[in-house]
Amino acid sequence: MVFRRISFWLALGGVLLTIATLWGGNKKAMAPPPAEPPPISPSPVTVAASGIIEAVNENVRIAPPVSGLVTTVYVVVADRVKKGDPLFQLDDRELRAQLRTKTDSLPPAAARIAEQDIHLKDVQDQLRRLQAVKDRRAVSQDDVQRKWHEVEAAKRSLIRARADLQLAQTQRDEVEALLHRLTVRAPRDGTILQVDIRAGEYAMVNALDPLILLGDTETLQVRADIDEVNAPQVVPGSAAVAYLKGYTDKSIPLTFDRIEPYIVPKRSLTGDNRERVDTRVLQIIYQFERPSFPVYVGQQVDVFIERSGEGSSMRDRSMSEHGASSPDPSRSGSQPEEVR
Amino acid sequence: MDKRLDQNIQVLEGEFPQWLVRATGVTKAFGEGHTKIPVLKGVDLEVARGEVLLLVGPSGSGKTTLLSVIAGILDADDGDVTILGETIRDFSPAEKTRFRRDHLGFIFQQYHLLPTLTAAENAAVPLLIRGVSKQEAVARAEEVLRTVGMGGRLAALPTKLSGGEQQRVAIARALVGEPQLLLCDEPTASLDAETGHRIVGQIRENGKKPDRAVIIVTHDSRIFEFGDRIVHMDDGQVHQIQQGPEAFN
Amino acid sequence: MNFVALKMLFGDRAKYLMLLAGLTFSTMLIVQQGSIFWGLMTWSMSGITNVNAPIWVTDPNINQVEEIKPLADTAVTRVRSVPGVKWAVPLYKGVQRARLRDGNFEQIALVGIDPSTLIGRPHTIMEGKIEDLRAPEAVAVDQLGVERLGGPDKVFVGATFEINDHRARIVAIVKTQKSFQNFPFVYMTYERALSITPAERRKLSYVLVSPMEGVPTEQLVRRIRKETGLGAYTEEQFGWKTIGWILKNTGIGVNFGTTVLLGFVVGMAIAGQTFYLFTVENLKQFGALKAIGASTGMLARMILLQSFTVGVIGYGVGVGLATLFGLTVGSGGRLPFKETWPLLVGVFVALLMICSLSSVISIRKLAKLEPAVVFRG
Repeated sequence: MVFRRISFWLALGGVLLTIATLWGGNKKAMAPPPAEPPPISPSPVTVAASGIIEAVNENVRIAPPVSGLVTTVYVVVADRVKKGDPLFQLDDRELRAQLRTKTDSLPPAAARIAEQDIHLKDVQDQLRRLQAVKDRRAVSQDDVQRKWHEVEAAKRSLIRARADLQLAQTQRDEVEALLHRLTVRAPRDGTILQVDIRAGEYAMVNALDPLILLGDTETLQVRADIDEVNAPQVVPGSAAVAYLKGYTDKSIPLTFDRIEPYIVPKRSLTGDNRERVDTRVLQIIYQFERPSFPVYVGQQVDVFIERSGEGSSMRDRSMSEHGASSPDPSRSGSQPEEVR
Repeated sequence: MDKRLDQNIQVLEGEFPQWLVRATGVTKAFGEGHTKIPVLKGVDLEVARGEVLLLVGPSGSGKTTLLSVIAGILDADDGDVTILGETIRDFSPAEKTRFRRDHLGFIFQQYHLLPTLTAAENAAVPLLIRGVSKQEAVARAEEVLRTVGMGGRLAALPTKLSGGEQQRVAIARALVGEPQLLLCDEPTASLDAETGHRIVGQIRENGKKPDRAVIIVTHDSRIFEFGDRIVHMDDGQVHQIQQGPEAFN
Repeated sequence: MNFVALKMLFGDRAKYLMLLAGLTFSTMLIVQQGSIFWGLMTWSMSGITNVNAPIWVTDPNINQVEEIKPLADTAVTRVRSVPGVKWAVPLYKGVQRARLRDGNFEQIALVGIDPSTLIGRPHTIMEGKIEDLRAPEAVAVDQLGVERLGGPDKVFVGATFEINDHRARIVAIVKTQKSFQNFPFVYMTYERALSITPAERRKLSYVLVSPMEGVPTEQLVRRIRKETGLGAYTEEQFGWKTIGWILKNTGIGVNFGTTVLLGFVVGMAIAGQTFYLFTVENLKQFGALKAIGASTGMLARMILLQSFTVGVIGYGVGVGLATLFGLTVGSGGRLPFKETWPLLVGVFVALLMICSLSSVISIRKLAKLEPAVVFRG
């Protein structure tokens, strides 16, 4: 019977060991909680989209008016510029030389006017004196006639001299204008987003990348990409919220601005433009107030848009239904019902 | 338990005549068709209360078969066996088993002790079968073992006992339930002469009670002296009935 | 008589040992084979279990987790648009080549996880910080990776190697469940995984989804399927789909099924036969008891008690030995060995059934037994 005891304890030990091993080994590892809370739809019924923050006025890609050597860059990235502020300077030595030539040609022209003026006055005097002589024999009619012609010619010469000065001035102004053009200025108020030119480089007129990217970072907007499959579920005026990637505890309420009427191929985030695209997206523009935390142009956001035909405003629903029970099955019915 | 048995006995005493077992015209054959061999050919036998009856005869004379029929272990082909006024034939197998359990005791040639049980536990088995608690059954078995002189070997396993000792344990086992009929099948065949003699003496000593009977099947003529009557069997029939020791003395 | 039955069982040391050994061996055989089988299946599901997301969305015609059929990027927002979805994040999965500093190549299973939420990251971080994955060039490798990419001397937090000619700096060592193909898992952010893997038209392997509180997972899965036309599966469905595919399309199903079945049959045959032999050897004792007056029912109870007792003890010892085997030979994930409750319970039930069956056969024999055998003998 001692034997019974040994085998009994062995069996009990075996079972306990197995249970312990199973308990330890088979415990299903709980999913680790998200490192940052994932973007969660504020309402059970939304259309989700990926969005990107951009300036309200689309960014200005500054290019030079002519190709040329860059001599000075006046701005650095993040500078705020006013309209007309210089951005960079192209090489202007040639034009400056031309300007000097043109400017120097003005005084001779002016002198020539004075000269012609004096000459006119002289011949006019002579004509007056000839006409004052009543005696026909002393002064031949022919002489008077010739003098008169002389006066008329002098008048024309004066006009031409004046025109010559005008031309010289205009030519100088032209060079000045061309010179002015070599200083590239901000077309409007904004912030310098990118500078891709340095003094000493040669700026090409038709370069692929802009030399300077100017944008308006004060008022921003969100461009949301919606898969064309989901496009029918969004109507103009739908409310939406956005979450910054990895910063989902604070939402940014969005107000509808417009729907881009043309469906465009989706730009892939990899930026590899050799990629062929098979997805087309509907783009919706939303405006938003700058939130208390910083946001930047180009930042990606997750957007949740209210579905069409879902009635009351999103904020109301997120208040009343957040964390509530499963959505009404009638509402989550088949797609055709929801597409109005 | 005891009480119930006693009551049974009293009732039986009041109602029934002197004999305890009566077999009339018992026949039994083994096998089928051509190979059918008749073993019992119409046996009539009565066993009286308080009697030790020896059933003797050569091998194949049918004495063990007769014993089996009386015990209700084999069914007779024909004829009736009545024990304690009950006709065995009328019983269902379960009733036969219960009857054996409550009224019969057995001693076998090969002892048939359970090898893994001690002497006391072996002797207690009939009581355990009846549902007596282990403690009480073993206590009673120990008492009986003492009366057969095995008080010193209560905790021994059968393998540690000599043949005679084992048979004494078997006697204790047969007697512990206080059966009205004790059936012994060649109790001395596996023992030497002297031990066999002593064993049968003990069977007679402990089994012979006024209201009980003992049937011993044997072919050992040396123990005939212990029988009140000796029934000789031959070829399936009762050949001769002798009176006990007087016949020899 | 229970006492007598147990004494009959335990008293004969040799017979009991044989009986116990038979039952122990068969239990051990079945549990061991079954556990190895289940271990293999666990390995095949590791691509799913390591990620640990409630719902997987992918191509509707996918067969199993390692068979990537990439989706368009917008699938993430489409899934997010389904009502009842709490969150949905992208996951990249693919086999890439890592080049070690000594010039050797090693296949790795690259996993790209959402950088902000890090959903899909492994549960156990052994060294380093998984949050550092957001740093440039950062990767996390698993324990198998440590072993394969050159051992702890060469692979540690801060060490570098190359994936597809891009530098990879290890910021964390993680613990994962080994995979069927036995490639080490390497984790990085989703965007980085897209940028260093060869150009493909589509790269999004899976969208991982969690249902909102109160939305049943199964219901959401059906809704995602209906509304997006994509394939959606719960973690469990996807696991079983993968297992089903492997069983159907590889030899493992037939091979191991046969082995397990043979183990089961052999084990059960041994158990049944040993016990039957035990009762047959004790037949004479039972016959004596029957002659003395024990009813067949009583003897049947005794036999059942004996068989269940030895069955339970043999089961316990066998299961213990199988577990010990798993803990020693299969330690450290070298061998696919995984015990599961259904297997253990199933073996227990089967063992008891076999014990009952052999008992019933023995009891039938006993019922037919003429107690007359006890005379002479």
